[in-house]
Amino acid sequence: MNRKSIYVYIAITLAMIISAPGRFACGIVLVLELNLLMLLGTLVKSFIHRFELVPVGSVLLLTVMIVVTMLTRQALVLTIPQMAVQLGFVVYLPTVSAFLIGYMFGEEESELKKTIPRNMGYTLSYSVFALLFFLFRDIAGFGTITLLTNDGLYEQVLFDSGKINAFVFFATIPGALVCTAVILILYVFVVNKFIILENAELVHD
Amino acid sequence: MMDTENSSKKLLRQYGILAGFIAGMFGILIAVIVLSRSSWQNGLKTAVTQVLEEEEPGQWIVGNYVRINAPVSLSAACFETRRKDNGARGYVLMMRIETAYGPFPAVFVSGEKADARFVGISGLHGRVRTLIGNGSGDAKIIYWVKRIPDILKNAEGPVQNDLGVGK
Repeated sequence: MNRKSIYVYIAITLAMIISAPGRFACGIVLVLELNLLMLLGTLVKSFIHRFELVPVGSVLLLTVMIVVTMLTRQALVLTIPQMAVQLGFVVYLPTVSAFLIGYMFGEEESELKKTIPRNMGYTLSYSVFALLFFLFRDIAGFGTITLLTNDGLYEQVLFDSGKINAFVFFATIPGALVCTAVILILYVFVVNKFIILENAELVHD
Repeated sequence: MMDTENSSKKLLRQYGILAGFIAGMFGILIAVIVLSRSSWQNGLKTAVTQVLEEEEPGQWIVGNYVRINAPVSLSAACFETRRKDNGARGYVLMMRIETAYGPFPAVFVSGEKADARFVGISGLHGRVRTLIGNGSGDAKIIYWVKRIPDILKNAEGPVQNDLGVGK
């Protein structure tokens, strides 16, 4: 994990995950939005280069991202309006997160065959982490599991003893911050150990 | 001369595509917003009714959507409501509130003259809902309970009889 990806991780986590409610269903919506934005953004960027629209490219790309974000909100209004109320401005946060801005505007243009797998690789790997994070907070913190179904939002209460449980801390915003920090520390620790092992093997050879 | 002409044509093409793209995108957006208006009202009415039935079963009839002329209406919805026992009318609101557990769609009932009262949260059951309880220990819920009568002053469609909630 290089320094840039650590900063991107912190920025997107603070923007997208911490401010969102720790429910799995909300996580699914935000992750779908992030992937849709990355996919369409990459396609539009390729379109811009192919049709020599570079001078107006940034405006074009931003327009698409804004419209896709607003359409995501409207899709929520059509299907699960109470989640549209709940998420509010959180729907707009993936769009302005360092993740999309960093990869959309910071990368050199190459072939679409290469950019799609690369960009979607970044987004999908982060999506797995985000979904696990939302799932953990939903189950451990809220003691429930929430899913998206044809009828809207489905909620199943898993644990409710009627007493105050220490795990409720993970449902709170400070709990989410602590979780994020612990995961980041563990991840950096493990990656550094692998780097030390690799270096040791190189020296040994 | 030829270069200037080509450059102008190129610029015209680029900005033409940009203008067309923006117009098309916003056209789609406006169409979707107009189409989803009824879903917003009907879906939230169902959600509000469900919360009222879970928390205070058989006590309320939820009526028409009430437009609020205030910025808060972007993350809130208001409906007329009536008590089944005495027929007193008032409002029921669903609005986004920030709690220690993140944002949630909270439901409040209010009469025209009385304070508002917290009823419940849509889509939240289990231990966190138990901890929030009647909202008297949550600073954000207390804030909105005090703020709702001011918001309702901007509601279209006055309520004649008071519900007597919060007294």
